[in-house]
Amino acid sequence: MRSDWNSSPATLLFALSIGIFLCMALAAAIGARPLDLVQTIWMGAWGTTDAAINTLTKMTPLLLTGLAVALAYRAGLLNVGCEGQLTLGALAGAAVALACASLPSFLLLPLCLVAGGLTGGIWAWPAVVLRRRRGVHEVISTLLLNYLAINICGYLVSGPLGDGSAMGRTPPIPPGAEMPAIFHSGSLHLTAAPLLALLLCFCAYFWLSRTIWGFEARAVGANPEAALNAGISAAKWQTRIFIASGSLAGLAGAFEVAAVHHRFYRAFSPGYGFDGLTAAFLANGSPEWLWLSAIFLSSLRSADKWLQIGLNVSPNFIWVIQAVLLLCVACRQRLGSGFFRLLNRFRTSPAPNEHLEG
Amino acid sequence: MKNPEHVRTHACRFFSCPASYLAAWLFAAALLLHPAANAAPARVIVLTDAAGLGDKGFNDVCWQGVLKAGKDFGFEPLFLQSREQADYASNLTLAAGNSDIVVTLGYLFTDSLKQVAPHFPKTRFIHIEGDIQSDNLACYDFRSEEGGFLAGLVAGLFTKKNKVGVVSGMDIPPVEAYVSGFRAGVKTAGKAKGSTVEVNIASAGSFNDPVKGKSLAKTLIDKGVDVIFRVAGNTGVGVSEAVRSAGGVFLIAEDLDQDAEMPGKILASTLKRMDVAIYNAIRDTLESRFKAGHFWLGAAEGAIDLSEMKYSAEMFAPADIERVKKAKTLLRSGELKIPRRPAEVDGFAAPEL
Repeated sequence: MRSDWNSSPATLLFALSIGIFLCMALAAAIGARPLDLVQTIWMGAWGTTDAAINTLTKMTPLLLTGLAVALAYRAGLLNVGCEGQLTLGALAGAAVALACASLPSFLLLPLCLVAGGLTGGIWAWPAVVLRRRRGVHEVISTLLLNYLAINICGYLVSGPLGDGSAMGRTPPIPPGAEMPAIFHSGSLHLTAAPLLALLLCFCAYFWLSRTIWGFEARAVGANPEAALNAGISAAKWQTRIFIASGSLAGLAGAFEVAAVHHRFYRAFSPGYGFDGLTAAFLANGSPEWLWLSAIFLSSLRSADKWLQIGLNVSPNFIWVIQAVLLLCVACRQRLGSGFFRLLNRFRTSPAPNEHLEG
Repeated sequence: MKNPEHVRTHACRFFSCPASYLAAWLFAAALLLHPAANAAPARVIVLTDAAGLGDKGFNDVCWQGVLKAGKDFGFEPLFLQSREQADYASNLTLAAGNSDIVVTLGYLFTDSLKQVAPHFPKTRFIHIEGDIQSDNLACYDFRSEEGGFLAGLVAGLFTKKNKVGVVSGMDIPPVEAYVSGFRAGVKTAGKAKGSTVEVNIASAGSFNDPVKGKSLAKTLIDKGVDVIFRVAGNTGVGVSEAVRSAGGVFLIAEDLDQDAEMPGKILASTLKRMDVAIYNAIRDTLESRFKAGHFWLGAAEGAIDLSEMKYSAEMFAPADIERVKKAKTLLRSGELKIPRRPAEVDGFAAPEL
């Protein structure tokens, strides 16, 4: 058996295929034709131009929050506060875009994104300070900061930053702050956001694996004491990385405002922050594979409407499918090794007859 | 994967591993399956916001109208629930491209309808609640305030503690109309009884949060409220739960006749006949008589009413039942204008009933 079987993409694909088989069985149980299920998911995510645009648009926040989690994870920290950082980043992006509406587009859009990133980073900072000074585990503090952030934003858009309607939302951002479309198809369009997110992912990968600083950060994550003995300050790196992680989540929010919604509204994130955790752990916390897990998740998410109108299954069934697939992927290590054990037994069985008796 | 060597070895392992063949086969199968096989003609698609069907209110009423039309005119309606706000435009685009008639339920679709409808001139859109201008779009708005008024009247006449409450979903204009009408109704009842009835309003901020609905209703009950009016979509399911387990507290339901759900516990239900409006609109469209525009429907058109109060009428004094009947007649004749906005309630002159 291979020692690093666990991290190979083959395991992932194998686990996925097992999950797909299970889902097909589930589909058969509720009366849909199993092959139709696979086909519909595929069609719904990538089958038409509109579907592909939709999937890529949904990939952006997952990729960025996933990167936020993965980066922190590499430095030995767990950031479960992406939801709050994203929400605050989105609101900050929208607020800055509205406040500086008169600026030209080439300044306004970057400013709006930077504001989102900065706010996310600032919101991550207390968690890491609490960890260093008071030993509060960052999982607890970031989780609690989520509620704080979401409710602060809810208050702000219902009051001072709202558009005066009862909907709890800001006015639409000026056109200059909108992410330019790079591709049009009917009533939908694709913005540059997914590309920028992919670029960021690549930069993070490059930084982590090819630079000295990236090496130091990874060393801290792998073994803080060893890193300390080697003259690397764990505390410093953890602070920096955690703030960077928060910034990425905040940036995800600003991207959503600039590219998709063009305004901020109450209950902004439908769980992107937590899906970022899923995306990061599907990819084993490595930025270079994150695009794959983000695309996988966004494909499932955007296929749900096709399952509804194509197969006429309840939307709740789609949650079940996703959960089954994710569970299979999460158990991929055992699934994979089990498969190989089986394979080896077949290989080593001396004669077919004997095997049948056994 | 820490360096290029690793990537290379992994790539080799990946391609030499038997599991990868299985996976590759699966992906190839998925690729080969032809797209056209899926394009079964779907004629009518109904879109809801994240609350979906089963809310025993707004969405269910509308869906009933579509189902009835489907039975009568021989089509199988499909239903598409949006999971998040980012889905509205893309779901609408998908639905519009795959059907002849798209029915959108709820105020939250207005922005995306504005964006999508003009791109599909051949598709007919029927929208409930909201005012959007497009040549292929018929919008129906309801005088919810009239339903709210009747609910407020019933609540105000019934309450023993002179304290009534409302649990609302999001404070969007149709819900505000309900609540304003309710306050006007309570005011009218207070005038008839010669006392002041206090109205407590709690907003959940979501149509899809039964847990919050329950806790808000409990808070109202703790405050001493003995009649609760719910206008909260799926959130209202939690409100019903809270009322069910509390003694001496009664509920007024919205949109759909639900008196039989908790006989004696539900004083009345306001009726909003969106099903009739949708049924008629679909019929007209299928008979090539589609009319675009924005239409107001109220008690005068038979679109707003109050349930029969089959299980609760005996709990009221006969004079109060007469008052409710009289209010209905006044509304139907159009003589009584009910405030639609919260700011107008204070200026509302309660009629003598």
